[in-house]
Amino acid sequence: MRLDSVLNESHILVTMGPGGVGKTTLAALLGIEASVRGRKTLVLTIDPARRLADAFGLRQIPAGQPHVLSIEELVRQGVPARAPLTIAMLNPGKSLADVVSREVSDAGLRQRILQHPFFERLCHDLAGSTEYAAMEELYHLYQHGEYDLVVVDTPPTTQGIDFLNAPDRILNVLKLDGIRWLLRPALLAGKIGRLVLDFSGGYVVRILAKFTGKGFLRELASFLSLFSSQLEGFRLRAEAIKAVLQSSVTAFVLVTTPDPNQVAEVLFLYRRLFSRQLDAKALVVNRVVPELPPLPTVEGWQEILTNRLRSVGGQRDLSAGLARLAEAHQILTQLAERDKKRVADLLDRIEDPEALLRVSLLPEDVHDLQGLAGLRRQVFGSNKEEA
Amino acid sequence: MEVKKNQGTVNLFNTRLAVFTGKGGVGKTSLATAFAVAAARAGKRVLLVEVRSPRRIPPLFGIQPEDDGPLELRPGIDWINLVPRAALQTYGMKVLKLKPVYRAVFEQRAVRRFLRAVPALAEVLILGHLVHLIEKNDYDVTVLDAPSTGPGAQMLDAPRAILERVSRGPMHEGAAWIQAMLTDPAQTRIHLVTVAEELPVTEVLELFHRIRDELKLPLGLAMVNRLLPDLLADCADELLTQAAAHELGRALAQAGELYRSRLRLQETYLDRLRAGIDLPILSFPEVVLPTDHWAVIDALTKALPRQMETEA
Repeated sequence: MRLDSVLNESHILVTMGPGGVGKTTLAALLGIEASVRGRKTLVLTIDPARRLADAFGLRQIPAGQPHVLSIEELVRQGVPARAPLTIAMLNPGKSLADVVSREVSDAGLRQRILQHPFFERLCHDLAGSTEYAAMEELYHLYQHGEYDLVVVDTPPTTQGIDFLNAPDRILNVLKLDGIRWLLRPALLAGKIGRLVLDFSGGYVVRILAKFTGKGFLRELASFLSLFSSQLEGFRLRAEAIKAVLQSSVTAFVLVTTPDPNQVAEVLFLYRRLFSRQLDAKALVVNRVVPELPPLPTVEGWQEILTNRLRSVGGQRDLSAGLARLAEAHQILTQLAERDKKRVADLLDRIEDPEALLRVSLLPEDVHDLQGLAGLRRQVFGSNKEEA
Repeated sequence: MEVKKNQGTVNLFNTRLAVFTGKGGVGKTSLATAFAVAAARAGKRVLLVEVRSPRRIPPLFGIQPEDDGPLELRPGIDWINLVPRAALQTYGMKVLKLKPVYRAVFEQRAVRRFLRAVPALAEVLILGHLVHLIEKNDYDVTVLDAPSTGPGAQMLDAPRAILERVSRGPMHEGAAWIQAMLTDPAQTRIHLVTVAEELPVTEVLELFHRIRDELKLPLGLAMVNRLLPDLLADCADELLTQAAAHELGRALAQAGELYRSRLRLQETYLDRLRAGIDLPILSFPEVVLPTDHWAVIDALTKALPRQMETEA
């Protein structure tokens, strides 16, 4: 299984996939398995919902504050861990403020950037800002080297905004060579210290303002003039982040369910990663309805069974009960067949069949460490015995 | 238009704009499509709309589209996939009224990139394009397969965000025009789609409160998709234990265990939904069929009017 090498060797593991496929649970599971393999691991979730905390059965994890599960705690809950596991929820504002604090050496400028109203927008409103913050955080964690493995659980990839193009998207807004000419009047004004956008000059600015509002452009222009000396540094770091993501340090794990729409979405991602020279090391198909043993083929088995069971327990309405069980069996079997076909179709469409991992639909939802421990045994336990 | 809470009649097809949202992967697209087909069967002219989508709907009708439409899927059902670029051209043109200026500015790559990052702008352009289509073409019903929870709410909130930021001018007027349609319960209804699982229900409840209390937009129905038939409600533990002990009963017992667990989860989350949501709830069965496409839509479509009768 490809996931083995990912868990043993990668330093960054990014889970990606459509919404509602169990990505967060998967990220938690991979984190746990890495800690079983003795790697000091951090699972970082970008999702503003508290799913990661839910998956671990924790009330909540305060954003930006890591929560450490010690080896003892993990073992007590049925995870044979050999390294501690840290879970953390991204706080985009804090991450980006940290970047500015680290990178901007001039204390006065640093303060002006952090207190600028556009900085707030940059952290929260701008499309892709959360993903960008996550990448910066990820890169920082990686460089810092405190963890053997950082698992990042990304938000669902729709809307054309995804984790991968977030830095480009944000930096394009800030990139002077792109829009400097548009905002030239504003920037000139900035240089002489009056951060006023001159709407009388430049029809381009006037037209843009129709779409964005004057306030937004004014804020942006003033922020740009403040930030211009820093842009090159940020751009270089974005390049460095890309390089790390493209290197063997990083593995991408795609997650889907057998649902055709989600499969289509994940295949789109798979090709997209490929075209960016990024490596989709594993593709997890979650919630596959497991195949059941077939019903007996012996003639009249229902009657035989009814008689045998009656003699044991004496149930009322036994044959009706068995008929309903048979119906449930039929529904599950149909669902299992459907899933089997869907997974086979997916297998046909990926380069490396070894990359695929099926995870069965569980009888219960996973929302505590014990549930995760059980899932881990199902996914990794048996696999190890085979090997 | 009459959707009364918890009682009275539900006349689903009398809304001009029916918006479907909910967590990703719960079957929004299937239910929105089923709704459109049912409306068309009821004699309505329907526009079925996807947003920034990989064009999922036409294949359900056996059609592989070459572009984002508009395209007639069936007599009475047109389809379009709304994307920011076309929206900027159509609706942006309407706002700006000046073609050469538009060209000079918006054909610039830098400008397009820049505008992509401006909060709420793309969403408002898309909604503007949509309202423009509704008014121009005189559809009876427009069915919007909206983005999932978070982005979906963000899209519905975009006109308000623009109104807040742009205090006058054509963009302001445009946003006000969209907002007037979205907030009018006689014209618009937002339907929430979910499955009876933990996260989808949690998200749909959050969405319900956000739409009702913060966005203050008119809600319609809650739809629960992919329900397993309630076969084993009274299945005794003892029956499963006994069956499991017998060779002929082993497969039955195994199926029974899994099915019953899933059924119990389903019931738990349905209860949570019923307790937390103040809307009529429609249920749709898990459709187990050999084909993935039209048969599913057809089955869901048939389930729709049946339920409208039971609600009425």
